[in-house]
Amino acid sequence: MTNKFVNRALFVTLVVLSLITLPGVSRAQDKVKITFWDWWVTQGPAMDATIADFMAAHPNITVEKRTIGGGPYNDTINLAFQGDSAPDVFVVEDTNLFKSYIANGWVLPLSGLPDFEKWKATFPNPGANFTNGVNVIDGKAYSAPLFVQGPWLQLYVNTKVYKDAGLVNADGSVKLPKTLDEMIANSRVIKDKSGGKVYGFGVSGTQGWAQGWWWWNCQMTSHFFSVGGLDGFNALTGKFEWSTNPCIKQDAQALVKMRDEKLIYPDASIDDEGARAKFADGSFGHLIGGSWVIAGWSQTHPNFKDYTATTLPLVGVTQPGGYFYKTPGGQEFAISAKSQHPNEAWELIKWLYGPNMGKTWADKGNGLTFFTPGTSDKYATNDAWKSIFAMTPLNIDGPQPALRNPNVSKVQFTLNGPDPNAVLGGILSGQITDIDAALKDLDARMTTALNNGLQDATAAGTKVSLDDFIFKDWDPTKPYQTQPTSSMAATMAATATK
Amino acid sequence: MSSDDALKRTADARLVRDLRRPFWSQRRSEITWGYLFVLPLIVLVLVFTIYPILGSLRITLYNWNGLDNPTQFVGLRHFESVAKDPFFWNAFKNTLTYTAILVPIQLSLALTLALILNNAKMRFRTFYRTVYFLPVVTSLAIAAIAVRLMLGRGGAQFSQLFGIDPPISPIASPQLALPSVILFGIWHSFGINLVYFMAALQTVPEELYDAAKVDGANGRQQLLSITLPTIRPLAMIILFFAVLGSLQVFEQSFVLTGGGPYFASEVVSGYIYAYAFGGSAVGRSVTSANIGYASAASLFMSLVVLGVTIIQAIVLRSTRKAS
Repeated sequence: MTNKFVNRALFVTLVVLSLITLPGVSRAQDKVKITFWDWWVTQGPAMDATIADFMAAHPNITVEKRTIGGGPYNDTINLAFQGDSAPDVFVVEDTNLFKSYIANGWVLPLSGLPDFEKWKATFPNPGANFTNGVNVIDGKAYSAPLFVQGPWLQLYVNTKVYKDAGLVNADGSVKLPKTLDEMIANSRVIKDKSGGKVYGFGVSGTQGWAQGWWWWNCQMTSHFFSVGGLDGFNALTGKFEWSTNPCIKQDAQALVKMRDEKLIYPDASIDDEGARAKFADGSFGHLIGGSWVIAGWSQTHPNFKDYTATTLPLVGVTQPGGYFYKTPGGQEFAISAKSQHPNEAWELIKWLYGPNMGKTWADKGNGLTFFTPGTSDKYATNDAWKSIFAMTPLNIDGPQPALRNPNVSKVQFTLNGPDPNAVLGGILSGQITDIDAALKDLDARMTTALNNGLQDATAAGTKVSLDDFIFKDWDPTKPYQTQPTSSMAATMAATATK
Repeated sequence: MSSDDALKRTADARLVRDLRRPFWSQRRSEITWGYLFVLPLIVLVLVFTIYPILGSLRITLYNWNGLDNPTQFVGLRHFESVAKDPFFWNAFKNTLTYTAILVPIQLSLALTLALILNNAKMRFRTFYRTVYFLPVVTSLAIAAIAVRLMLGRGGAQFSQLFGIDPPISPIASPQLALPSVILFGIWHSFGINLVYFMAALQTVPEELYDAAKVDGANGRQQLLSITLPTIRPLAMIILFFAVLGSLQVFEQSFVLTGGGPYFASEVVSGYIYAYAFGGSAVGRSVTSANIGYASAASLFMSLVVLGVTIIQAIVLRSTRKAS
């Protein structure tokens, strides 16, 4: 009797437990996992916090984030798409590659997703931020820009080093250099006053891309990097001007002078991260970098506050002759066309282009997004951020060949020999001594690469020419609106009619 | 009848049966089994070596970024560009220098240590073998990163070790970058050659040494007249692998120095990688990926390696005949 009772009681208990548990199992099974890939290492804490908030707000969605820093990101994404293992949502790093992804049918058009038009309307100036030929192809939007952009590079000044060297104004502020000559003069003072222990300038000795930032001193001096993808190509003349633009030679000679006067931090083995650390340690007074360095210091040197930012120094002139240039439209996040969970991926996209990410991004010291709530003053937590926010108007729309003729993306630019960054590295290390010859050689090689690319594309039936890269009506001192060619305008009109 | 007798009888019966079978049948069976055993390897080589080589032959004639279909035909221009590019020849020279310095030093060192460690009376022999072999089982990339951290960032640790003041960083020096890569290469892979040589030394019959001792030969005479001539065929194979491996050097340079400064330590594999993947590859960050060009450079280098292989095969054959 007792056994029978116990068995029945056990049976009932199990049934009740099963009934309680089953909905839980069902809920667990309903939970969708999506993958998200980015290449942002320094911005990692902001992205982690954003995604954690997203998952808290969407308990049925789990986001698995993977960060692939540095060079391998694009290779990894390419291979993932080709191997059917692409992430649901990914950060777009390379504009031209992104167009190839779209051409291959790998990217999901956002236009067809629920509430797209409503979402698009949340952007400031949607007409400019969704631009045909950039993030809208054949009338379908594939991505959108997110960040409020100023000049992407700044000159960082260590204010403690400056103050120790007595480089201060009457009001106690530091004497920020506006020109390269002033920066060199200040560097000499820093070195002299420190007895040779502190240097004027520091740069990575191993990473060409970081060394190449020095060339950007010529951007605001003479609008040197005007056309995306073709460094040193003058969109007014249609020629590469590494050897003929006087700014470049002066810029290179100034670097050599600083090296020879031992004004540059001598450790050639440091990478960019190492240079940032040495700057924070007070080993030198000037560093070139983007706003990401601030988030980096907040992680590696949380007590480092003695710095500010200013524009890159002008070379040989006292008034700017150009700006930094951006392209209307842009891309930041996209959804894989092979995603098994496009609706959940779309939810994530909307979250990323929203106030939560905007606030987290700014709070963590990464700058502003279009959706950061409040004014920039709220997030200008130090002098550097105040300066960077104030520089936003220095980034204006410039000419963009791809808007006029999308076929320019078919021009394969294969440069034989060292690129401009490597040439600068060679000058800095002393392996290149004849600067004129190196710059002439660079012009010749880049011209050959462009001519070969145009010739190959034309031979393959693509309608593209050198004229597509030339903008004779461009005034580098004013925002420029690229007009599509008549044939492209007709295509766009036909698409709009459909 | 004991079980041994039964076994012997069975074996004898099998032998008789085999002898009675026609020779061609027996031979065919052996050949079939031989082919069956090598079949998996042949399939792997066909899929992962021959097919990619043949596939890349076509690609050398095109511009190709690895994503879209290769449609831009350029003929033999990539080969011409590679042949005319001084930076390819710089990488080629660095690769040959790496091979020419690393192989003799590494093999001499490995052989010397193998002779020492081959002494059965030596104490802690296993410990030393393990220590020397340890770098081989260490990930090349990880080891290179560790060494880069030691030699980089001002070279403070390196300089302290050797009492150099002010500190220098060998991997950032145009003169010392390639030697640093070579030294790292010697350290990392000489353990495997040590093991090869120790295996070769095991093949020398002990009786030869006994006979030599009876004849009054000293240690040096035994080494020169017995040990080295006996292991010569195997030593040629070890040399063959060492040369081929060195010509394909990549990670040692890529991770340790990034091919720099200003291509001072770039090797051919690094050159090919830079063009195959474009992006932020060393010194060519405005170069978009062009797998067609990279394939041409790769094929060019493959022909060189093939030439070296043929020469070595001829030498190997003549050595075998001589011994």
